[in-house]
Amino acid sequence: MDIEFQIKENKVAILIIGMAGTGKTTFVQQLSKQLKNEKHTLINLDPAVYSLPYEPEEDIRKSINYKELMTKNKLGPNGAIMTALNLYSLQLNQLIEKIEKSDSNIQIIDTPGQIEVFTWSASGNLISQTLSMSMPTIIFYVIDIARCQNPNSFMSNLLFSCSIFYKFKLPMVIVFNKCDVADSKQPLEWLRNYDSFTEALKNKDTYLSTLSKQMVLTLEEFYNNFTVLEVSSLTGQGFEKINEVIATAKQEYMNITLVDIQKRMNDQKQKNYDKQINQITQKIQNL
Amino acid sequence: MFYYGQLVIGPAGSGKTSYCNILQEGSFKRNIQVVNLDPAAEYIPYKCAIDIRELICLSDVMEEFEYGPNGGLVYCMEYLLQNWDWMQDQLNNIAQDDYVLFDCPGQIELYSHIDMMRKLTQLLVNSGFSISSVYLVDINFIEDDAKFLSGLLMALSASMTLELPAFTVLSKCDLMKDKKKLKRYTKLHKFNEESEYINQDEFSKTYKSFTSGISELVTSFGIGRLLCLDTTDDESIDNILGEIDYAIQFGDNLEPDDKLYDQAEQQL
Ligand SMILES: Nc1nc2c(ncn2[C@@H]2O[C@H](COP(=O)(O)OP(=O)(O)OP(=O)(O)O)[C@@H](O)[C@H]2O)c(=O)[nH]1
Ligand SMILES: Nc1nc2c(ncn2[C@@H]2O[C@H](COP(=O)(O)OP(=O)(O)OP(=O)(O)O)[C@@H](O)[C@H]2O)c(=O)[nH]1
Ligand SMILES: [Mg+2]
Ligand SMILES: [Mg+2]
Repeated sequence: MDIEFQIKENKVAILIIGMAGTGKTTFVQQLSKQLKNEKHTLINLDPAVYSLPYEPEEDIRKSINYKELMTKNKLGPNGAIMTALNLYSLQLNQLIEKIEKSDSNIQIIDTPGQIEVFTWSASGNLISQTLSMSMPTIIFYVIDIARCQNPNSFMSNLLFSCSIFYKFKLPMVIVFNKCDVADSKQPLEWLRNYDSFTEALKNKDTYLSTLSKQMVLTLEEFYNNFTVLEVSSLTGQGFEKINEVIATAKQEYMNITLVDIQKRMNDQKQKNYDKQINQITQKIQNL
Repeated sequence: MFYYGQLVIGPAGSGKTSYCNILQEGSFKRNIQVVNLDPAAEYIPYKCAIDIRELICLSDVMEEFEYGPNGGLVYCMEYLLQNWDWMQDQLNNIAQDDYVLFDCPGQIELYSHIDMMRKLTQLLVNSGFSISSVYLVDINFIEDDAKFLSGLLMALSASMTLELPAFTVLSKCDLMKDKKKLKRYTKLHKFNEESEYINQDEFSKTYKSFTSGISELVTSFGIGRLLCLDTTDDESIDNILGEIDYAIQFGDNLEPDDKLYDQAEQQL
């Protein structure tokens, strides 16, 4: 017997992920502004954020007191974020039900700056998996373009985003943020024009030069495989095609992610999805 | 002055501190000194030659400036760079032939996002250090191919910023009972050719060429060749140290070459 599950095809969940200070929260605010004609829900999953520039409909801080977790359980800052997410993921079903019942088409989810906490924790895993089993789910990975000024850090950031991609296996859009900052031209040029990247490596004569051919190939593949947005979350530039970009990523989910999920559900060996979820939940409860 | 050692990096909980401790406790034909560079460290099992927390400590910074954990960490590392004289003074107490391990913080931001660790390495190199970076990947990353690749990409992303000879070490290998699986992942690994999911998984099919390009990059950087760390097995540690000694030219590795060089010169 197949496990029944019904994807809410008319909805989409967008996970906003990125390193600390890249502008995730500002991006959420701007995205909300840009999508003002669409019904959307803003969800904040950062338990430690002090003040938000937008009004979230759903907020982890409403049910979990981060400061109290730290003092009461003698947790370090990262441990407290992890615990807060764990506690929150236990009430995930309520969130999903609420979303499913609402008439909101787009859910925009802000995540904590501690990227490892969300990416590699059991709860981050549970949240992304549960979402992707309920509606099309995509990732917007935010990169601070001002932090990509030399070939080294540029490439390093791109490779990190690839790491995120293989971790979540969800459609991913790369957002180069802060393009209003004057010196954003160079890294964007590297991305579009591989020769200029080779040239930059030549000039620098770092030991990366020896890898430049391999890296240029990677750049090319990267550019071919991912949608890249160049935006400023501050000024709102670069958001013209946002609806299109979301639609494309959603289609990718339907063509790839959903097919794999369905296959997994029907696969005898892996039929224990519920069991898996239970195990993860159990693990979290034990922590 | 000339020093040798390793910059021990890797995500939180990957086993950096334990690795430093094991090396210091064991006997590996060298006098090992450990420097703690993690301002957030709470418990340190090894004998610290230098401790960043004597200069600055994360909880103080967070309290005083109301920083979050990330902002606080960045502040601490910046403070260390600005007060490098302090570090230099401390380093002067380390003997020439000591072997120095730097136990680093785990936050990935310090590597790719802001190039703080690169600045730090450059200062070390300027101080006369011949070091390699050693990135620890937790054994639980070899769950499946995608996760493994994801872990290696993180390693590459961090290691490449440092511009040092780079090594990737699979940590906590004592936890892996399935030796065949371990072998499969530690061999030069071509994900595209022998991936177990290749014919079933829509994801793998769609991104086949991308995956193949990415794994080739990982491999050509040397990141794909993993060294195994099993703390219950001294041989695995000898093996790691041997590879690194060769790369940074520590110890006996240099001498034969020197003699050959002298001989060659005399003959001329
Ligand atoms: N110039 C410029 N600054 C920006 C842009 N987006 C965000 N910022 C600034 O970058 C800083 C961090 O922005 P946030 O939106 O808080 O970043 P975040 O990723 O949510 O940060 P954490 O949640 O702490 O990880 C703020 O000072 C923003 O004003 C942009 O497009 N251009
Ligand atoms: N079984 C096993 N466990 C290990 C090994 N090394 C570390 N651990 C465990 O992994 C956990 C983290 O180890 P640490 O050495 O503190 O890791 P770290 O990388 O220094 O962590 P941070 O300083 O928080 O970034 C501890 O609970 C260790 O007991 C190992 O070789 N084998
Ligand atoms: Mg934020
Ligand atoms: Mg440690």
